[in-house]
Amino acid sequence: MCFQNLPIEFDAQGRPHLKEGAADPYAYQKREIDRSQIEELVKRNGHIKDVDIDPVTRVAGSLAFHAVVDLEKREVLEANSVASLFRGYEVILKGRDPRDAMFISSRVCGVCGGVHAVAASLAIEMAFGIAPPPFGIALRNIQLALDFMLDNPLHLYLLAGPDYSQLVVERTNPSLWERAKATEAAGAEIHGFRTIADIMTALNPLTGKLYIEGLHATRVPREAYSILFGKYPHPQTVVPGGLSSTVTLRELNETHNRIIRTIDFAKKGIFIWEDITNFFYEADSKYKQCGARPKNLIDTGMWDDPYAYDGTYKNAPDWGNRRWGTPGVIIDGKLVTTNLHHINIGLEEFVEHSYYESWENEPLRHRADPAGNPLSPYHPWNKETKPKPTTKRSWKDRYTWDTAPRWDRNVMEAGTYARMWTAAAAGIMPHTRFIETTGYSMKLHAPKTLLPAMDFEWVIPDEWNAFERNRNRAYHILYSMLVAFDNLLICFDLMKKGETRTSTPYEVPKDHRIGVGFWGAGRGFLTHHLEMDKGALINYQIITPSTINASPRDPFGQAGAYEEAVLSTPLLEEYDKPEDFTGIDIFRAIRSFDPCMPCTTHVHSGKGDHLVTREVNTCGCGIE
Amino acid sequence: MSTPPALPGVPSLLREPAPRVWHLAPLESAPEAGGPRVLIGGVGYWWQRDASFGLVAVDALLKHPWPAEVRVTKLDYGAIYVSQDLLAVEPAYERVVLIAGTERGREPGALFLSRWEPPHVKPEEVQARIWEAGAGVVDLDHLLIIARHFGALPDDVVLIELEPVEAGGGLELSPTAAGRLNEVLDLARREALAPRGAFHAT
Repeated sequence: MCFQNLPIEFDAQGRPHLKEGAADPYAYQKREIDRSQIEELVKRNGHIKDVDIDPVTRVAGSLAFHAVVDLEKREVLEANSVASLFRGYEVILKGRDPRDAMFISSRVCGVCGGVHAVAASLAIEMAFGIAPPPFGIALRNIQLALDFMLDNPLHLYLLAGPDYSQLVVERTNPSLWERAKATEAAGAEIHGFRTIADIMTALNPLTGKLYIEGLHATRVPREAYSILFGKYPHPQTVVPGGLSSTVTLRELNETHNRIIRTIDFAKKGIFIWEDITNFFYEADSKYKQCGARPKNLIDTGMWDDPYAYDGTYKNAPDWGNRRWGTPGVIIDGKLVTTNLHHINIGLEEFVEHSYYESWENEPLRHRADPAGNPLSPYHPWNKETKPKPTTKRSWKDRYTWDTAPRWDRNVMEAGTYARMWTAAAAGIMPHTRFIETTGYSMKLHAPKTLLPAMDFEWVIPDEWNAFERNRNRAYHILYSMLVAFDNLLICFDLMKKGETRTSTPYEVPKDHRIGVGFWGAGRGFLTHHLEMDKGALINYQIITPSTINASPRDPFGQAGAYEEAVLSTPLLEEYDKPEDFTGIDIFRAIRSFDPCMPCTTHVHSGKGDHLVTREVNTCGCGIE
Repeated sequence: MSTPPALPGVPSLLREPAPRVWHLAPLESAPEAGGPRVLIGGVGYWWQRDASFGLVAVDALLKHPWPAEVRVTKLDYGAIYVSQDLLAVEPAYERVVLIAGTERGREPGALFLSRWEPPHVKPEEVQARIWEAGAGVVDLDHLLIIARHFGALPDDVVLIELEPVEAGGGLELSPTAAGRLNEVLDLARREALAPRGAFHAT
């Protein structure tokens, strides 16, 4: 019984059904937000400040963050995540040929278009009733592993890394910097940095050795990606039913060479982030609270078994559990399901604190999924995107273009760590050439490359916080590369057998169909839900990892994941005067999620409703 | 054709070429010597009406023949990766012409031709822009600042900018912006084929 809040029960055969007796089973009461206490505190106490923080987007402005902090007690009293960039790709997709979804959704983002292209192709495959041949599936797996080899190092060394650099730590926590200079780095023999201070210096933005190496590291997989898939980040070869390219032994060999080089980089990175994490924990155990939030995580899994994936919704629980990344939901640290049907029917999206109108007065499109399982009126297949722009931002009412996705009405979190956590906890991942899942950990057996063969083990952490997110991301680079390597070996094997077809022919159906692409981005969970009729899309809904993580409060009064993480973050930086406060602990908390804002707010259309994004980052005083 | 005045001058404090702080081996697909020496690039996201002007303009430019020394392409992705691609070209482009729809509070619908004079930028601002570009934001100024920082741009950079009339989700350019496409074709051709260093701010 994985649902505690939705009105869904299971029969003796394990089939979900609606609880009997409720007239309106998915109805809920909206809980109003009471800010009177916060407003009073801000008014009366000089040490309680409204601060507006720009953790990602100071310049163009797509994510802003508002917080009320008590500088004496060193606490965050209130937090609001604001997505202020919006476009309208879902609306653009309506009425178009379904195959356009791959190309249009890929353009949502400037760095991770390929994951959207593949998620769209999976949704189309389900709707069309097709699946790629094994060679095409294995190549697609390689593609998306390479994608993460771009995204994860970029985040660790260029985006999050500077928060742990000498330039930052020396300024915000001088005593910590002194300690770092005197602390030997345990992984020195592998990564070459004698002290923690040496690592911090190497993380200095723009000039640090690790910063530059991280930048270089993204180039190698980009080369492999371009060799196999034509172009990065908007691949030219992703089609429903596989890939449109012909791949020969030469391309596989070129890819092999680059995967090997990337595995070396991944091995070293694990030692770096182990050293950083352990240093901060030992310096002050309160860092374990930085970015802490409940252990509620979700992932749809990814990287399909070339011999199991058939693209059907009916068989999704089976092919889902054959993935290299096992689908799953973690609630309070416990795995509650790995079943893609359960993951899907537990999804809802709420807009009470977003610039959208509810669609609850529209006729209900789907009471059940294609397998007969009950669906909420707030499920993506039932969602209608109805923008409601306003120039008034209210922390009590509406304050973001992001929506509030929930699973079983719980606040969830997406990320590389959700992918590894669900796979590790499930312990059913069947591809064990390089990777083992144990129920409590994931073992990574990295082959000899330039560095010797090494065994690593990522253990499900006791603490859940910003440091663990980053530490996991370092392991995830190696995990992704081992998945790529495993699939490359499968490709070589298929090539030997002459099974080199990369795609399956199809015709666009003219009748009514629905589909969903269960996939993943570098930042985690990704779904594309579509509905089509007469050969054209009639609804298209995307939930990205940052849609989940940056979500506002929901109608039940629960804060989103960024907001929760910031609320629990102690202010550990050293400051004497309010003007010295930089908010570094809050930055660390938010950046640990690897925010990707253009994807978050892809849903908007309409005329004359342009919100002035630059205003978002000004003082929040005067906003309700 | 009358061209509106160039972008109000950003003081050029960085007269010397930015040092290449990192170097990359050329991509296997990089042009060989004798390949393109001038890049015309459209910058932006797709389907954002006039904010997508640079990409729509490049589509229009690609319908016309170009001499071998000119490469026309869409730069519809993050500035970090665009910088890597520019650095991989050997020999480096001598002139880069960038086209974009950019909101700068000027007369809506007007075209602005300017020679980019790199402003002095503090490292903090470069990193702030890298944070955004790494998070998926595509933006002309990000591209200029980040690519310049990494030594990926030549000294000779020309901007053709449209001040959007209508921006936001949508497929079509505004009628005013659409009416500017032929002018952009002329401007881009003239700037791409002009002697290096020459600039026609007329």
